Amino acid sequence: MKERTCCGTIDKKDIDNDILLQGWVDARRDHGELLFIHLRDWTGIVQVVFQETESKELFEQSRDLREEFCITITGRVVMRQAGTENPSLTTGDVEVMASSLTLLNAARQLPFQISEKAMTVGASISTPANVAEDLRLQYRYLDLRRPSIQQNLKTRHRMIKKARELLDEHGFIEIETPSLTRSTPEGARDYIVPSRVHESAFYALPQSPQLFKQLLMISGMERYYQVARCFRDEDLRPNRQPEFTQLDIEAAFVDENFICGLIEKIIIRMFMEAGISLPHPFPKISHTDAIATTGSDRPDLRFGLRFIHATDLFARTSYSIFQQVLKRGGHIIGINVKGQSEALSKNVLQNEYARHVVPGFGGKGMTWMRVADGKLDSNIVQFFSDSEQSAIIERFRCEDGDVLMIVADPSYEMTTRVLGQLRLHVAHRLGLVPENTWRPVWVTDFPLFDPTDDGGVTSTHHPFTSPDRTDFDPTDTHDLLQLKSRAYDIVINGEELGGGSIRIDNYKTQEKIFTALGLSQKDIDEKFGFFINALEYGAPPHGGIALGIDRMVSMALGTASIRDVIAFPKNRSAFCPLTRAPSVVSHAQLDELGLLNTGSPEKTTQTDEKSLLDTLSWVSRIGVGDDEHPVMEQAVDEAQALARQVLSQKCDDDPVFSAIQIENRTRPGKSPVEHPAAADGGLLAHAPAIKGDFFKVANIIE
Amino acid sequence: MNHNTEDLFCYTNPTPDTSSREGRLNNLRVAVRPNISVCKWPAQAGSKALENYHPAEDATVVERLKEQGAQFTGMSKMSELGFGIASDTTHLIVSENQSDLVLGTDVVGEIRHLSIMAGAWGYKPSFGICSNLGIINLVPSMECVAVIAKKPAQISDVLSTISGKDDRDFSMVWENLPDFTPQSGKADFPVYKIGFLSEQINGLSKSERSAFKIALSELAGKGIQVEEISFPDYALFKKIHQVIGATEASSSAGKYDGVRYGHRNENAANWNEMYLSSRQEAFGPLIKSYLFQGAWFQFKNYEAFEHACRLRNRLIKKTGDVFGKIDFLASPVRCGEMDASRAESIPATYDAFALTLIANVTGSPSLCVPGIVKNGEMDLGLQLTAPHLSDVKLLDFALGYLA
Repeated sequence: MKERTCCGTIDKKDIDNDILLQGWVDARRDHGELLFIHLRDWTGIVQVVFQETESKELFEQSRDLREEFCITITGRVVMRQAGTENPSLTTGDVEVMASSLTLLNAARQLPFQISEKAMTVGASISTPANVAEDLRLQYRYLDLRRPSIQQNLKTRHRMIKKARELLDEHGFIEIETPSLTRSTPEGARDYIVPSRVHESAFYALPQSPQLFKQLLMISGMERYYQVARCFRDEDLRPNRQPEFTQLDIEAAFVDENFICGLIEKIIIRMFMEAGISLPHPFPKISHTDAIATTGSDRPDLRFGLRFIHATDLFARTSYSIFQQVLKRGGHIIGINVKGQSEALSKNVLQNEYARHVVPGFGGKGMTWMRVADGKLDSNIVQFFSDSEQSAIIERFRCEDGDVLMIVADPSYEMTTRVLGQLRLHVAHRLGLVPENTWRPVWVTDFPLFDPTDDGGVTSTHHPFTSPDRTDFDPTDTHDLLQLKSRAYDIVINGEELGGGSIRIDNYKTQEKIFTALGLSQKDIDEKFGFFINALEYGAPPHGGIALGIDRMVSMALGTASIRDVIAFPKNRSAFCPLTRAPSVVSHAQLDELGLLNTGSPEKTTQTDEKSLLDTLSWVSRIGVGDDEHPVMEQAVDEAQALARQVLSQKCDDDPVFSAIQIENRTRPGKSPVEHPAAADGGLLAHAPAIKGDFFKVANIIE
Repeated sequence: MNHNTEDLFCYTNPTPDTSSREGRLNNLRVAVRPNISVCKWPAQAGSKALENYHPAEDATVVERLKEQGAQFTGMSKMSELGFGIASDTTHLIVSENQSDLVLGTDVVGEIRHLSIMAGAWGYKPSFGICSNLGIINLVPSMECVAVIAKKPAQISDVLSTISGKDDRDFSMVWENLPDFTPQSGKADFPVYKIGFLSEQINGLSKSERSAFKIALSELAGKGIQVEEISFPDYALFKKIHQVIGATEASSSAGKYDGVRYGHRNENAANWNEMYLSSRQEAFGPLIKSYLFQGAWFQFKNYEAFEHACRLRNRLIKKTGDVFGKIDFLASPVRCGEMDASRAESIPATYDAFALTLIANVTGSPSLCVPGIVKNGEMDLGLQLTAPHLSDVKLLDFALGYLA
């Protein structure tokens, strides 16, 4: 057999060559005596022509081709006639005159269009965004045929390959760590895996290889990395996956500068693969400064709107809101939105921002001032003295057309957080965020601990992060909250792409941290005993980092979702529409794992019954009144008894879902018509809640 | 004792005589249960969940009857969503001569029971030969349109009118759909064989059993062969119907959210609460119990549902084996022990309708004949069930031997 030529590689050098192509029919166009197809493989698309005048038989054969049939073609490469070139194809100057056609496999009717390239200039094309995502995920193998998605996965591959190359150059080796690990109480909820051999015991899937990579450093495997799969059973958010991939790195006998320098090189090279050149060296900003200037520990530095602190200006103010805040030791901080007084009218500032947006962020309110004719203009400006007004003008460097937005709150954390969110809101609303701009930054010197509601502390990152000093008293909460960590987060355009730290390498310090976190000696021994033991055998100083690969590739490619850079992602409900995971498992499997014997039947108390009924009530959205409880409980009991009786019957027949064999058929071709009742409103005439021309339905929030 | 019109109908046609078309059903007065769509008539299906629902077009079966000149009198009162017959007036509409024929739906045997209560003929056709478009289904895989009529010939006429392909119903038999025009008047009938299931008949009381056997012996006197057949899986029909029925009901009742029609609680604070409280108030206790059972299968034990579907396949095959030996399966329609019109719980409903479930589970046609199986004063009804798609043969037999 002739060697295969790839569709996307054909150009003028191939003119008059006889070639063999294999791939999928991307699109077809029947002109009566001529039939064109776009033939696609993963390198690209080329146009193939069948002519009735050449071979009647071949031509008839070609007319049976449909989208996504997998075929082999031989033919001769020719120049296209002038004026018929297709500039949207890299092969658009040439075409292949077919001399033979072999159908490898036909395709069924497609659930959605795959072709992304128009056959004629100006014709419309489909994009993945037009198709319901669950349908795309159910037919992911078809969705992945789209060149745009294939391109995403190829770029992802090259980005990871670059990282591997660079790590290899620096002497790092890739080591795999286990996926069946011990459940440890760090961060998020674990995915747990029951053990069949050890009854009532469970493995956990790793949230990160943290302890194993530190053990590798103690083992003397001085430079480790891994493209590691991690699992977190967190609450669902739009851009989160239950499993994700991180580039996990750890090195011994190194400090912050080594890690940051290395990671900078890796990230620059990875983004380069997506055609983005990042400005470097990456600046560093301390956590304290990041909060003080942007209100966020992942500051977006693509635009200004830096915080201006003005607490001191109002020490003697007669404006009662500020007075009260200052009396409680509070803070007054603002931003100057330069030259935007036209876009931010009084109405927008007062009725939208002060009344809705800022309270939505959790703030109590917002004070605003506009600058015109060298003076401040606001609904409350009369409460400020002349000297206060001129101090404001000077501090905020006011010019005509500027708008000041000021937040005051007794809590510094609240003041900065609310103003930080306001800063982002205003920037996006006014289009102040420049496109195609990249602002990487290291955020350093985090506090080691955050306070908890019950007066204790919790790790800001994780309990293995090294503090800036070790002479602390683990029982002195005030002292603990002063500690800084040797952690560093890499942030690009306001998004955290990874974080790491220099780790604790001394077992006494590690024990003190656990004590500070409120763990008893027994807890420490039970949960981390193996790790403390390891630290007692001459651990080297070490540190590392983990980078979120899905997020980084998604950012570099500018995809709407990280699902667009993962081959087989779960949907927003952590469900896989393709394989329909997670699924129920058989009674027998559960029994084998000892999961059925976790409670004796006597333990089925009233509260269990109630909670089952509550669950069913919730999932089927039917409320149950107190008086209905006994009847519904009895109904569910009956269902359970019925299920036992049904399942006790042996039966291997296929399940049927109708009394008859349902035949697949297609609605005969009809053009879409609007039903007269829809046109004249009759369809909704009796809707219980009509508002104007609409009826109210549930709001769908992502 | 005759009832007032408003006691029998939940809606009466203000212009019943304005049938504009000429056809073979001229002057046939037809009432429908209100889960069958008639354009602009309130189709509440006996449930607050469909309060104020006015279909924008006729159900296909209604449209076809209108084309043949049938006159629509109104809508009967019915049990919620057509499950059971506790508050039905359908039978009274026929027995008090308010209409010649009633069109309803048959989930567990409702129309067949009602026909015997009316002293009339009841008929549930083969599954998939009449369009379901415009029918408010509760259990789509078990349920279909069914009729009550005074005369069997009317059933044949109506069947040939309403059956047949509908482009807009994808659940129908399509490739091998036979013609349902009646064939009666043929010169000679074959020697028919009628069977009955020992397990089914053994569940009856002694006097009911003997009433049934007397009826069979009368048939034997007309030259029909009668055969007793054992069917060890008979008890499964009830269980399988309940598991599948409840699951499908939970699924199909999911669409009643009170947004575009139906009862809505106006005081809910948010959407979820609105759904919860609206649906709490919309469904009555019988349907709600059924929906909770269905929800448990759907969300907590789907495996049991799937296994029930496996067993359903086995029951369909074994019933097919039985029909290899006989033409029709005979049984009473009802027994005295359970009064279907008083069944207000799920177990009571299934017990009351135990004799009619085979046709729903297997999709077979089933004809109910009044006045043949009599236990003292009570008409138990003779039910004849035939293989799927042999509706014409069944009706021909009835016209020839029982009319």
